[in-house]
Amino acid sequence: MSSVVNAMDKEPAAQESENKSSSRAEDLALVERARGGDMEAYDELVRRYQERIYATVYHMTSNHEDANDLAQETFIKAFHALKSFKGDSSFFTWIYRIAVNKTINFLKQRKNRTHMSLNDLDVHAEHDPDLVALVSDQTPRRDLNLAELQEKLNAAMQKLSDVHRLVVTLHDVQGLSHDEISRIMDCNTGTVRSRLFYARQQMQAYLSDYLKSP
Amino acid sequence: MNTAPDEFEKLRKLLALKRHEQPPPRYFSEFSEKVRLRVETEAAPKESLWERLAATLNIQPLTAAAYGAAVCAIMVVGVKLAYQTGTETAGQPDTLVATPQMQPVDPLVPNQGLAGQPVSATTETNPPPGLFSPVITPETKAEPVKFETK
Repeated sequence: MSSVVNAMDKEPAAQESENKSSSRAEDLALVERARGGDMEAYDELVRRYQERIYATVYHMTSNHEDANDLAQETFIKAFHALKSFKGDSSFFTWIYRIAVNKTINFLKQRKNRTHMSLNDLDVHAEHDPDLVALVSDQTPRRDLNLAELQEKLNAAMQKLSDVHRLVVTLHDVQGLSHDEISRIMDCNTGTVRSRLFYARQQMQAYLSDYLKSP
Repeated sequence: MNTAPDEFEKLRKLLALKRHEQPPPRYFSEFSEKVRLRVETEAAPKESLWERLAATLNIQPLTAAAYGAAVCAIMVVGVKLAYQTGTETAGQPDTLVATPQMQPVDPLVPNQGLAGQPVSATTETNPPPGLFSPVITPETKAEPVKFETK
């Protein structure tokens, strides 16, 4: 019985690993075609990663216009650098690195001139029971609605240092694993874990009014 | 700093709110096209100064050539006309019309031409005085030297 359960537990993980390797092989084939000047192949690569790259940059900057520019520049730079892509890492990790480096350089230049330009919440947010609970009678701030909570959350994110905001974005918002983050940030998983721990502590302190139970 | 597990769980739920932040509708359907346009624009060879000027002023090559030809034709006709006028007037004495403002200047007469002073109407044609042609006037004429003998 236990061996059956173990097999069932392993099945989704194995399936996920298989999907990843298949996706990686497809990416490499598209990269080869794009290197040969096939723009349709590069379009396909852009469509595969545009949402994740945009989201990473957006959550780092809290500004739609900046995220739009940086995401576009990321894909343009990647296109020109395709010849230098050796395939040691996946295309996914490689393009994420370009996006992250571009964003961190941009934030260094921008320094403290933070101007938030937040995207609207989708329709599902209002029906998310976890989020509804956060703005319900259970919190001390009963007057808060979702849009206000979104603004407070983004303001708290902007108070974090760039690297701490990055680990929170990649792990807690985008759901990447510690391994994937360590490859993107070019550091070991221990560093990722400690940065994540510190960043969460900071966030809890900044948002204590909204996290305390009544 | 409170790091209670329930607070962490609430933070995790709060961070999930960020996943609901979405760009405007159709943003991603146009994104790859925008990237492609920018890639192609940057890959295109850069225009020369003339090409950029022509593009700015909206100059068509044929129009520019026509303008150039017209300017050249006008210049050739102008030069031809100038030569013709020159040969027709050659040999005729130049006539000078003396006006009160155009008085000849005598370098030997000081303060001439100043306001209120008469100006001579004649022109000096003699060469200026020098070592070999000194100015000799009756007042400055030298008398021969007489030597007395005892």
